[in-house]
Amino acid sequence: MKLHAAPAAVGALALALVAVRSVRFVRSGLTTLAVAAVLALPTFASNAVTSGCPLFPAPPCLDVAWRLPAGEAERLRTAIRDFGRGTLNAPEAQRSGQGWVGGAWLWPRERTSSAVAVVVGAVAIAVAATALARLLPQSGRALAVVGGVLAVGLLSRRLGGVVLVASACLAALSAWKARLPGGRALSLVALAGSGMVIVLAPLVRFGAGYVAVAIGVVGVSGLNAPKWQRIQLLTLVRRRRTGLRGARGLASSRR
Amino acid sequence: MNAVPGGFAVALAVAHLVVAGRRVAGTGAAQPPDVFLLVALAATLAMTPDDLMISPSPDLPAAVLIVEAAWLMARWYGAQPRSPRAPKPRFSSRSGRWG
Repeated sequence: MKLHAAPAAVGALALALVAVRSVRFVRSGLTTLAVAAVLALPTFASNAVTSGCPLFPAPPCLDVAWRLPAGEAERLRTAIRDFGRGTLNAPEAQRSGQGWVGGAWLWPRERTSSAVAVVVGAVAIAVAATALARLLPQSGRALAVVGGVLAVGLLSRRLGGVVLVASACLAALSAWKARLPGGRALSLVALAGSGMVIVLAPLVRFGAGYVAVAIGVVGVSGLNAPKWQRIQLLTLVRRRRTGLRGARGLASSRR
Repeated sequence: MNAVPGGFAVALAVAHLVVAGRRVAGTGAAQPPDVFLLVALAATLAMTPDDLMISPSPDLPAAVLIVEAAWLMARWYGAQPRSPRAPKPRFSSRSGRWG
């Protein structure tokens, strides 16, 4: 069971409830539930047969002879959480507190030396992709942004929980400024998902989907957002282009 | 067979990425949700560690499905009649131009 997919499912369900406008909704809703059940039941059955817990490692567990010993699922859940926090082998006092937030989780120790370079590189790529997106016509803008996202994503593999924190901040900032249709709803889903992953099992691989949603909303919104034009580099480029056009128009009119 | 979930998710994600990329770059029929999908799927695949690409772990399929669910939500919103306060669309499906 991937519990961290719950915010996306809840968001989609809320959207479906909002979309209730006809009797056909009941039929289509039942069809959706039937398809979901067909897809999920084999997983539930497999978990029940192998561990006695249909939603393993989440509770509840069935009262069957082959079920795992009491506390085993709880121990596994705790181990997953501590692995994400970087406190798997730490003393109990450190694991139960909030010290993990600013420790190895945020900046993994073995990568701290290059963390600054990674952040600087990511910012440089983002600025370059944005500048390129402004200069290129039509679809070239989108491809430039995608190229930047790919590069930043590759760099983000070397970062720790700061990626999830940045995702939550991006989602929160874009929630009210999103220019994508439904961008606010998507931002809230990304915010809820990133927050849930940070609290329950703060691994980037668990929250990658929500980080991607936040990046997607911000990326599409930023392609034409007026605020992006305030970046000095872009403003200078635009002024230069506008000035060149004005000079050419003046020269042609004199002819 | 153990590598089916991750490998299958990568195959489907790359296929959808190609379709979205073609709509954005080739046909001029792109809508904002298409660009969202292009950016979000690219980010997902780029952030995923190599050992999850071909792996029995369900983490990558879950991430891809989250992006796909968000894309469907964006498509639904995009199909609704626009309110006067709604932001202007970014792409023109007729001309294929931005802005």
